[in-house]
Amino acid sequence: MAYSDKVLDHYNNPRNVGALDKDAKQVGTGIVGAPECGDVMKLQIQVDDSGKITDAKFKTYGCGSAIASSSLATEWLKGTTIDEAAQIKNTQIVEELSLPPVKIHCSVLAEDAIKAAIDDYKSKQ
Amino acid sequence: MTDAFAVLGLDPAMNLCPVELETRYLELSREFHPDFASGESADTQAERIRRSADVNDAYRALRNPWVRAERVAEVLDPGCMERTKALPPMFLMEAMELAEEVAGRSDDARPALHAKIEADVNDYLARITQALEESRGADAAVLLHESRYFRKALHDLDDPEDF
Repeated sequence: MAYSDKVLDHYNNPRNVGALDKDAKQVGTGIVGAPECGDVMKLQIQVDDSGKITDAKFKTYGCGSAIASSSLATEWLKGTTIDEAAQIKNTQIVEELSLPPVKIHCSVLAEDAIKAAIDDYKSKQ
Repeated sequence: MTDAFAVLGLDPAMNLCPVELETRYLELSREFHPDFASGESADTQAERIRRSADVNDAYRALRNPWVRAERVAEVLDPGCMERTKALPPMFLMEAMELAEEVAGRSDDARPALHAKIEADVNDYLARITQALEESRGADAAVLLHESRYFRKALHDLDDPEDF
């Protein structure tokens, strides 16, 4: 399959790989999986008192598109508010990365991970 | 999704007899083979090709124990595969740790890790088979989803360059 240049760029130079302290009150952790392909994605956000996301990290075991989708998501998340973050749609990721139809589920995984991270953060407040 | 068991005229069961599956497949392949379609109307020929393709798909699906298990689960409890797809975070954490172990393993550690994961995969298949025999379709579906991460880990261990 031909991956777009943007997917290859994120795959070869993934942004914000790593972990934040999942027990910290200011950190929200989302972990989601896609049983169809066995991909698993962990996405974390650090939120300041004003509701702004100051840091985002991810770790994904999966195909190039799954890695690129989560890498891109962390780039977009940094500097936004959690309310704005909740508005991110998988279709925006599909568009930005030019994902083919068979890889759309990778972008869905990233959207689900963002929502799970926000929910986790909110449940701690 | 077509019911593969119905296509082949077999009872939905995990412990399908391989000889019976093979026999049904060969019988139906002959019956619907497009080469025997000369002299038939275009509609009948098209129907023959469609049936022939269904038979091939059903045979391929049922020969694979994992796919067969999915199909039996769906017969027992329609929609259960889709309904049980979201696995708990605790399990996904373990799946991630397993993937980390596979990605970070040394060459020396590979045989032992392979044996360990293979044992887990076999254990899953045994538990899935048991759940299906006890008509617990949704339980089998959850185990099928979980097993996917272990099957993937085994695949990645054997073929790390897969992109």
